[in-house]
Amino acid sequence: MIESQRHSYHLVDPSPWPISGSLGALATTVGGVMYMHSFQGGATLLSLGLLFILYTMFVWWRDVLRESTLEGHHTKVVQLGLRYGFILFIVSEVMFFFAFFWAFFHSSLAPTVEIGGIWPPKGIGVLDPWEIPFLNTLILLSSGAAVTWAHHAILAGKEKRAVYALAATVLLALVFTGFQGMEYYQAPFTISDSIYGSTFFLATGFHGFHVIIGTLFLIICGIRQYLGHLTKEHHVGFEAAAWYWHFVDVVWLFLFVSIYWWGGI
Amino acid sequence: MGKEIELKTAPADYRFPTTNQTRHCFTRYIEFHRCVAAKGDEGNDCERFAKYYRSLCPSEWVERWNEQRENGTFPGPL
Amino acid sequence: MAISMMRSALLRNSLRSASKPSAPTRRGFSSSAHHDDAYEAAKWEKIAYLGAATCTILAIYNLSKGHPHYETPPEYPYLHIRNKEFPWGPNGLFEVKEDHH
Repeated sequence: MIESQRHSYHLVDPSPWPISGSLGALATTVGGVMYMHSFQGGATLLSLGLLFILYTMFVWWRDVLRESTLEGHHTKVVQLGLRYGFILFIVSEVMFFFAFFWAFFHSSLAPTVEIGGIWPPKGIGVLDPWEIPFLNTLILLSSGAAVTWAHHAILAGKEKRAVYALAATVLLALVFTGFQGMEYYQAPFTISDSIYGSTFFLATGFHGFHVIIGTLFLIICGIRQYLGHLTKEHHVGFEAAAWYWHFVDVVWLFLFVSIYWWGGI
Repeated sequence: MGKEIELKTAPADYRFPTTNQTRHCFTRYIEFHRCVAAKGDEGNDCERFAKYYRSLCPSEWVERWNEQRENGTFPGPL
Repeated sequence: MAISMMRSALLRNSLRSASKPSAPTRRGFSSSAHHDDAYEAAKWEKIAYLGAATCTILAIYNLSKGHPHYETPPEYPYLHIRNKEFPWGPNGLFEVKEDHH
């Protein structure tokens, strides 16, 4: 098939993963609704669906890595398409978080009479932004510097240094998640404590989830760098991970300034 | 013929220009209780705030807020 | 077209050495042209170390302070909202933390 190809585009082979991912999503949704309404078998269907999605993610991305690294399908023009695709994905993620910031500012700029017309509402022990949240800001900025270090190390062909740099990035990311977990555990309010708790944990929780995704993405990049998958000229996977990491970083800066700092006074 | 009864509602307030007067009612309720806290119950200084909030607020709200104030769970800035 | 065909053929054969002939030293749009990458890598390495050191100091300071204790607030109607039981029972998952501080 490759022998007859007269263009540099990647026409993908038929794959079972789109339908398997869709079925996993269906099982997760139905199972999730059933679980939340205490139907019998809801938890089982939900776990099965999630497992199916995780499996699909694993094998699909495994296939992509084979197509790019081992079969060489990711030509320059394919790489360009991947970059465009990933940028559009990040734009959609920006919109996702925009909605949560909208909910936060809607609730905090004109607080309803139900919460006394004030923000934060009485009885909410807000977290001091200059303790853990500020430390976490520095941690994320440092890991942003480390990922830039990794990028230049890859471009300079320093393969080992790039692995170290990625390890440093991931380490800082894990420390961030650890501190966020500690902060959540010690927080005197929960997601069910007024609209303050709801908007706070919705926004910071989804950010935390994205930090975990970004960490996994960076770990995969680190492993691939260690295995020699990434070259000076061809490292789209790393670029995407770095962009994603910067995006997560920027979302945190907005969270810190608006929700932790401005929203706490 | 007896004396004519004067019917009056709260005056227009530039802070609450919208049709929804929920916040107007709530603010007048708070202003009344702040006034009482500052000047005491006796004088008639705070009477106008009472008139305002009574003409603006549904009575169930006032009952609930009074209850909350007694229990120390009133959410407004008193 | 010919270049990319040759490129993909080469890539199939080997990983690292394959990309050299088709792509000269020109890089993607994510790199700066001024400094060379070894210099930039060393610079960002230093910045990362500096940041990590600051974080370590700040973390030690923060953790040694101990966490603040909050008084239980009055039962405002908007706190602790419960409309029905959770699928796993009456209490939230992380709610047993009240007693140990």
